[in-house]
Amino acid sequence: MKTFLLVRPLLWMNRWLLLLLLLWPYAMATLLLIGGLNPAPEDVLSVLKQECMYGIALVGFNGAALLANEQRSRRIITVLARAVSRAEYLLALLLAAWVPLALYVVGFAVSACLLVRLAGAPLDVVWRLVLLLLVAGLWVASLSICFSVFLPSILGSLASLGITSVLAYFSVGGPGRVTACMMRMPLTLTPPLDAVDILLTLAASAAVFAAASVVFARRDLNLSTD
Amino acid sequence: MDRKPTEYRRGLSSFCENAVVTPALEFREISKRYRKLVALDRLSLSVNPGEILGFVGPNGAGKTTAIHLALGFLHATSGTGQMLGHEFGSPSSRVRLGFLPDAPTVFAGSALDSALLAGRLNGVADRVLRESAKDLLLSLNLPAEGRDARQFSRGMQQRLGLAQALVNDPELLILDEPTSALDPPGVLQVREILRRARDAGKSVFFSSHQLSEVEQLCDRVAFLHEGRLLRCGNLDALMKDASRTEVVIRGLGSGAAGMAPFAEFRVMTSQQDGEMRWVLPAEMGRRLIEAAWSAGGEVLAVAPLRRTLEELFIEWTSDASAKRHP
Repeated sequence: MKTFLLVRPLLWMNRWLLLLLLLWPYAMATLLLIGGLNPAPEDVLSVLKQECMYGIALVGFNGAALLANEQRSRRIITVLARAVSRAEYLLALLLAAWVPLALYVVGFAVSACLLVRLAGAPLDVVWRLVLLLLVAGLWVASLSICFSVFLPSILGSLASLGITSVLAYFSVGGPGRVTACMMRMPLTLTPPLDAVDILLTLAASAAVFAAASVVFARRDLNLSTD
Repeated sequence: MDRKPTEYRRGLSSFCENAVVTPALEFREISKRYRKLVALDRLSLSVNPGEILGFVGPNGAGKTTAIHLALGFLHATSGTGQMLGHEFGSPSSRVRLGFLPDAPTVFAGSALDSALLAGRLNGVADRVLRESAKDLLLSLNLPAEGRDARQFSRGMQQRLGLAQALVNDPELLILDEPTSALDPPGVLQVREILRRARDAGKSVFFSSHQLSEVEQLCDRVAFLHEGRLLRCGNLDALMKDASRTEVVIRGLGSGAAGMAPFAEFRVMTSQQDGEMRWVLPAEMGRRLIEAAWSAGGEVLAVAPLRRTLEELFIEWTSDASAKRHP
């Protein structure tokens, strides 16, 4: 409950960025449709995959920057001086990193449905991308929050996105296969989506978050003292 | 049960004499080191229920470090501590805590939003929270709604920080420089709030550079310097211990032989026209006068010197610096 109380002000701080993100997929769709109202299915799929990549990058950079921002602004003091545990606080940051992606996905889904319809491709591709994007986003959010506990934000975001890219390139583990599946998905939707990979990614995200919570609870806050 | 605050305190004092009081806040031999830098060195200190303890020290003395250790922002290198019956760092220890940081920061939103968030995070029920938060903001002359609290002046943000600290009706208040940005009416108001809290049996632990503030408010004072506790105790007792007497004597023999009986009173402040002036601890004044009479001297003046907390503070810190860095 306290976690949800914290997510709202954290999101509200970035409300203009969130609005921009909500509109971004529509802007991409508009750019594609400038060339004609009957886009090629391959072009549509390429745009959708690009949007997925932006979504993942958004989570990586946002997640890695949240903790540093809160420490730099010392708002973290306001929160952790209350009856809030470090784990609850970190969970609030995780949600604050992931919820913008969920909002982004709303815009993505609506614009993608329109594009896919116009291209005459199956709508299933959209729902699969939405699911994979949300799951891969959760993984990247956990990883970036974990790195933000002990790395500067830029290194944290690069590390989380780099590791995810390497895993995806070699299709290693749940997170690697989910991300690879998202970025290589053909219009024919083969191979089919593997539920085990999704569950593995969720489990890996939970494990990374749990590790981050343990490390964060044992570390000093990075605050300047007198 | 409608007792006056003084009666309440007297009752509380007599209770405290007869019972084992659990401190609201207790540091036990707690140290904090950053590589070679010792920020806090085996600090042992406690704040009892119903008292205001002033935490005084120059910049870099370790006051904020001690506060951050109590709140769990930092982890001790060695030693432990308890706050409201729980180990430092435990969220349960902060349920009935009110904390005002030296530079309060707020999230976007109105003053009421900030106060409500602070109360909700401490588990205060919504049905009582909204009204009490509005009353609190009103009493601190803050607009509850209609203005983003981030645009408040520093003084207003400090008052908002105080509202956040008080919104959960805390048992223990930890205030880091609570009046540093306030105007004189604001300072008086904070002083009144702290006195009321103490009279209600709550504990207050506050750090300050403003020694006059500490002198007026605190039951006990702890002096911290370079991470070490220099002195801690009742302010009157500390002032008495540190009291000095000025003695002016005429007619003492000059030269080594004449001054021999006065060897133990080594530090003579001045000598002019045959008059010798000493400033020395009160208990030594009597012995000096007796020695002067025995030597045939004439005591011209004996005057107790009223020293301010500032003077004591400077004396103690410079003494400590001299001992540590000879």
